[in-house]
Amino acid sequence: MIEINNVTKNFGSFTALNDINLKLAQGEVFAYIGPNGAGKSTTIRVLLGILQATKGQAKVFGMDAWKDAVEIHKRIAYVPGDVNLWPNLTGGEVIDLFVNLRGRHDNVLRQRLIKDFNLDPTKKCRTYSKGNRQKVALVAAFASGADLFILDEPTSGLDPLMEQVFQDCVLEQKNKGKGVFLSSHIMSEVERLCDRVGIIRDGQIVQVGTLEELRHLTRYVMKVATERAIEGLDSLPGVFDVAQDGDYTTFNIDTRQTGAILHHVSQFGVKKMESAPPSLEDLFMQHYSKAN
Amino acid sequence: MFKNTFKLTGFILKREKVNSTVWIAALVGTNALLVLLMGFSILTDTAERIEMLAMLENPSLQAMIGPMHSMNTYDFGSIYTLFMLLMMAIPVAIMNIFHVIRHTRADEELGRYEVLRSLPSGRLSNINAAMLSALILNVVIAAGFTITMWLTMGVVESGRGFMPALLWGVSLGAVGFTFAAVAALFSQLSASSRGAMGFSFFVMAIFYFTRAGADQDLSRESEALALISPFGLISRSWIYVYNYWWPVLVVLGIGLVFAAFAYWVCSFRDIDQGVIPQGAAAQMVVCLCALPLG
Repeated sequence: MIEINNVTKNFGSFTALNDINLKLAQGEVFAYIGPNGAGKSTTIRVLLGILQATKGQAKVFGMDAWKDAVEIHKRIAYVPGDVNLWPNLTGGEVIDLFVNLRGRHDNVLRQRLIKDFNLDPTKKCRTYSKGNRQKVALVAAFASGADLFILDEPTSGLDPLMEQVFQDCVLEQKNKGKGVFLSSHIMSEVERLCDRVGIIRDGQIVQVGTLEELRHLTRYVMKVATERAIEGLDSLPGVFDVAQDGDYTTFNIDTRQTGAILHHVSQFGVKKMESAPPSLEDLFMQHYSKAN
Repeated sequence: MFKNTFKLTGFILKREKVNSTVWIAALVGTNALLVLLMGFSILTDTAERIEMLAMLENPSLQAMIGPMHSMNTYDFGSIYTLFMLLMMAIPVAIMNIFHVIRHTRADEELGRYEVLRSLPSGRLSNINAAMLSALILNVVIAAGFTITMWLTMGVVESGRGFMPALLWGVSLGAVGFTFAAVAALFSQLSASSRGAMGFSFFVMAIFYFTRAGADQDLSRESEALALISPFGLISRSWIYVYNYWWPVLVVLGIGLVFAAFAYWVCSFRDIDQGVIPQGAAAQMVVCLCALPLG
């Protein structure tokens, strides 16, 4: 559905995208991750045909993203990370406008989504919090019946409950065979939803692969203090980067092996234990720092 | 390129319901009040009018309000339009500049334009909708000024026809449209709404002062200078004296040139980008201030 071939985008002397290649197949959810300013939004704006690629070509549904923008936009839905709406219109009026411009809409789905997202569409946009503005755009997008969803960090500002509703919506679209291009910085979201992941840094694609291939991104960090020193940790499958930090032993685990690892560790009399998903920043520090 | 222009125009007018109604009612109401006030209290008889006209034979006053006609008429209509035409044209121009920038660059700056562009709307639909809504507002302005002028002038002075009142209304609407186009151009050239606003008002000031330069020359030898300015042009309609229509057409023509240039820039530029580098306005002011004139 999406095909980006050797796209370069310069702003004056600054290179925002440097020879990017990406593909998205039908029914696929593609996660696009990278630190702030890496070029995620620039890529999306090239796909939307609102930035013109300096070099290379971006295609959506086989059409040129810049030249055939209107045709393409009939079949895509876009949600930006920071939705700004018209303060003196209600959320419902904004959704109506989007529907009206698109000319295609599923009203039953819209009512259900408004209920699921717990949105009050009769309120003026100026009274909405960031999360609520985000919901307006999400409802309009998911009720649009589009074939491709381009989502640019769409869940920023949503609480965990709504994050769950969002993930369900994405999976629902995926099951219908729609494509989803999801720029995200929430690893758990990426892990649950996405088939393939692309990583961008400083305008360059560092790695593209299936979630399976990029397992190192979804490891958890464990920090354990035990009565006796833990033995044999290094040789356990799914344990990486073991280090001793005072009383604590820290190591990364593959979440699929959590049970076995916990079982092993518990033999040594666990006093304290912390576990956390690595932040995106940590991942980038670890795996994609400029040195390598 | 223009897909969904009419829907977007409807959307702009919906957002503008209150704002524009207040602006237009205030402008048109002021006009009606001033006609009645001046007609019944200041310029009630010929002696007062002759005295007023004598006072206006003065370069600096004409530089301020506009050029006096050469015919010896002492009727109220001609004096009123001489006094008030530019004074009314300026707020109309300001209203149009605000309107167009609000619906182009300001929307873009706040990220709303991006959402509209991601929907099936053409690259030029939004600027086209902004200009079309401005055109509609200016038609309403023209109609409002025409009707109030026709009615109130009829109360003050009998025997005044409809055509001069129409010329008055249409002149103001045409100036409004032209400055809408000026603002449309700078909304494309400048990457910020403040910059676009600054450039538009700067151009408005230039147009005002070029005609001021021409009008303060009472020998009327620098007429050509006045004819490049929309303000200079409409004051040469000599409403209630000669009632020329050609200046209105020229003013509209100038507006169309600005609009065409704006559409052209809009057709190729990237979102959130301008053509004039950021900070150019500030640099320009610094340069101007460094001139001996400053």
